[in-house]
Amino acid sequence: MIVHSSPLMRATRLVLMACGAVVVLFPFVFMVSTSLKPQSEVFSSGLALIPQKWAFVENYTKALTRIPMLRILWNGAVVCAAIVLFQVLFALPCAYALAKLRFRGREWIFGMVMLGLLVPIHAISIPLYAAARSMYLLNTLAILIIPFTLSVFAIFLFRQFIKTIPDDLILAARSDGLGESAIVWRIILPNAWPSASAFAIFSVVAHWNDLYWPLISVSKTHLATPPLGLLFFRAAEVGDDYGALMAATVLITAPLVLFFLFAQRLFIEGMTMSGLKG
Amino acid sequence: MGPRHDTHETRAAYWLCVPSLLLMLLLLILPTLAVGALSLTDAELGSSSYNFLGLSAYSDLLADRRFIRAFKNTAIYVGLVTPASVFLGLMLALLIEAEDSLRSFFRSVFFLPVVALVVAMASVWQYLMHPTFGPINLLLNAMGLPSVNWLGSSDNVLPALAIIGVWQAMGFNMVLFLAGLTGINSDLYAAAEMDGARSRWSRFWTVTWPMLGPTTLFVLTITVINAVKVFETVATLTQGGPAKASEVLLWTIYQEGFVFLHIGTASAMAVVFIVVLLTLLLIQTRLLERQVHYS
Amino acid sequence: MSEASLELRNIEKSFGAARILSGVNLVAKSGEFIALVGPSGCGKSTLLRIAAGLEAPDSGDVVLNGRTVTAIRAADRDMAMVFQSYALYPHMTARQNIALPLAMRRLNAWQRAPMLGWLNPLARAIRVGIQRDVENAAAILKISSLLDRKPAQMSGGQRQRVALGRALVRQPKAFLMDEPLSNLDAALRVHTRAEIVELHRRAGVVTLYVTHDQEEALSMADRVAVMMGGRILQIATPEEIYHDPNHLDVASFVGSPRINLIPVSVTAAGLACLGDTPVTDGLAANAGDKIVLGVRPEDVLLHRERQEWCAPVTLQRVEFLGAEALAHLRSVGHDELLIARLAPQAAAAFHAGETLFIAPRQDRILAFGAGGMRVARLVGASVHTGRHAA
Repeated sequence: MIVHSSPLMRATRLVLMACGAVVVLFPFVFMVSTSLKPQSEVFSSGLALIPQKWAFVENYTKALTRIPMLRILWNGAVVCAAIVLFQVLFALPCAYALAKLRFRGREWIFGMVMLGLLVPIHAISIPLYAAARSMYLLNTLAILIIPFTLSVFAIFLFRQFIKTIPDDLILAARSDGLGESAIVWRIILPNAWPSASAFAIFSVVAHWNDLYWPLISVSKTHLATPPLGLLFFRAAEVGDDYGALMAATVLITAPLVLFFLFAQRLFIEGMTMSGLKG
Repeated sequence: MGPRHDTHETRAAYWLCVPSLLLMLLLLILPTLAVGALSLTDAELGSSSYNFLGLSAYSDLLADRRFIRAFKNTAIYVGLVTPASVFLGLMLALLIEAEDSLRSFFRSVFFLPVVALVVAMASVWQYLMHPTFGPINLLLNAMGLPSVNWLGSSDNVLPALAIIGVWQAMGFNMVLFLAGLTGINSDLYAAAEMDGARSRWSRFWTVTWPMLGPTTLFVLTITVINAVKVFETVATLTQGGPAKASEVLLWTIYQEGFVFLHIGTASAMAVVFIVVLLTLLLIQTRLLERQVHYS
Repeated sequence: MSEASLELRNIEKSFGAARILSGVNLVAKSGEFIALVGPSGCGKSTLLRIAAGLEAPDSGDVVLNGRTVTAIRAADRDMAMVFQSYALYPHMTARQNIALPLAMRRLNAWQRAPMLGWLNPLARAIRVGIQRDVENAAAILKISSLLDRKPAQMSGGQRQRVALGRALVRQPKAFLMDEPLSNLDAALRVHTRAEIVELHRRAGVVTLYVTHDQEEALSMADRVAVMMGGRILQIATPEEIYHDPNHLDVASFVGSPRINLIPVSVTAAGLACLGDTPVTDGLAANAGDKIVLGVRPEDVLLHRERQEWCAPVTLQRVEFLGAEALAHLRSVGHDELLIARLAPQAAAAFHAGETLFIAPRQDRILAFGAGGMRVARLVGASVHTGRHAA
């Protein structure tokens, strides 16, 4: 590389980046700081970050009890994990067939997958809701999972990846007597691990964040996912108890943020998987 | 590879695809058709009687002031969020790309908003934007500027939501641009240097910007599409207000369908929504095909 | 003798803990074509980039036409570079690619701007001059018909010419080429070699040419610099490099098929034996020294009967290559693999498995001693050492 970065340039860059970092971290800092302040101080303390009176216990207790916070976080984890599991379970074999097997109708099916990429879940929520309602599936964890078990995006992504796996590997497996199904789980999955884990992250973040579908399909607090749970919390709050609200947001944001800090590269690669779309 | 092999392969393929195909039918195809069908009626959720309106459902929709307002608000929001988050994403990527040791630190910092829960951070922003004790107004006051009624004024609410949207999106765009930047052949920069491109500016215009073409297009598309889908911030903070100034497409669809139970109208809106997204994607593909150059 | 045109003095470069270049010295005279050849990783590309100004040396100087340019950035050194990947701007046509270096130098930023630039009459005049120079360069390289195509619409060979055109059009003080032919297929490579040499002759500008292909280096250069492990082992004319290498590594790197290397033991003063068989004498070595003899495949004779200065070998097989044949031999009792070049008719007389006798041409024997350094050999009245007088 060309070496022409003077120390002055680097310093300018660092200053700019530091300013950017301040702007970006600004909400997080205040989130944590306010969650430690009692209500009275929130109104009066202005820009001070360190609370004079510590209301840590108070705020966090409210956050944990006004709604069943731990239960809600658990719901989120279960729902997201189940969704990813099913998505991979269904998408991988289909993607393998589309990528490596020759059969009639393959192009049609792939065409449908591509079309499916264009339809956002929000648009088809109405009939799905009506169907769920008529089957008495509303207000269950199942209904939070079922509509998402199909991910055409996963099929598309895995197909792209599987295409790069050398045919010889599969031919060798076949001559070793492995059936196609076994090939998918014993050969393809281990090889597609980077692709699968990146997708898993993308899916978990997307569904952890999803508000629209839980909002429509679930109204009982104890079945809420984190975003919905927070909305319930806001509704349950009387007045402007920002301290408790911030405590609740800290609790809800923490899992993903911690996960992110642990596995940064994996996260970033996973989330920008959508970079391969289209 | 005789015919026998073919049928075996075909059968195996179908078995592998059947679960996905079934789900596609149930979760994608039928619902899409249903939405299309419902859009032509004035059905209500919970009642079994409805009238078939045909295409007049759409002409009614185009005259519906609420829908037009939602369309307009969404367009304004997209128009605010897109240029800012794409530009900032590019700037951040350029800054980080030039950096060595602190690169991953800053990258993670800027990516943090993308990872944080939207609904949660929206609540935080609500606190930050509080008219009386919100830190933002306090800062403005400290600098001698007047307080702004961010979320409570119908003139300011869309820009306020846009600020939150940009804050959330720029980290994502930054990472996409970073990927694009690292994909640029470094020999091109060496060649530009040998050719006499002395300043950062001329290197940017000669190499970086042209080579980022496809990436920029992609980032633009993703940003626009995500912006069109704005919902969480509205649902959490404004519920379409104040005075319907933040009624956006998805919120209106939600209200029509699930609060007012007019699923016929809501379906028609949903169809328009799909069409809008489709158009955007098509524009991207078309532009991309025309502009692709290989390096 | 003209004064030195491009000089590299005591160049040192390390990347972190890895020492890439150690005390490299090179003097290229005005108009000379110097090939920098060596295996991958020997540092030749880094050296070239330092000469260009794309990398800065840890210590040492680059001197162009008597002027020390080490601290001057690449854009101001007036040298042109041709890259292995061609580095053509994909979004520009060939014409624009070739014109860019001229536009950068003759037009300022305002004049280069898309709209304003076209309105300014001075800028327009300069642009006309630029186009003329571009077309001249294109005519020399025979790519005039390709000028309005983009790189993606050209073949590898055509792209390479555009890259050459971009370097040529500037009439720089030095040409630096970084393996420009490696991405071409074999036939095209041979053809383009001749063209580059011709272009160089026409331009008369000092050229530093990096390659890993020793055949390319030998065929194109006025002088060849063999680099290994961050050092220049020898810099001399192709003939000297081939027949008079000063180091074992130089001898084995150059020449295809590879030179035959035979470790021998020195018995009485100067006498080298393979086992019991004396192979050569007159070596400037003492009894007990470890010597490796080098003999090129074409300097080896095969006999049916034992003769003086011969070693016994078994014929493994004969490779028929059309105009010549290669005999693959294994020395008896020592397991050395040797290759001899034969005329096809001669080769036909031998059969696999036969025991033959190999006799090196005594006047072509090279001897290498401790550390791979060349050892002198006395032959009759003349002494063959590691260097010829310039």
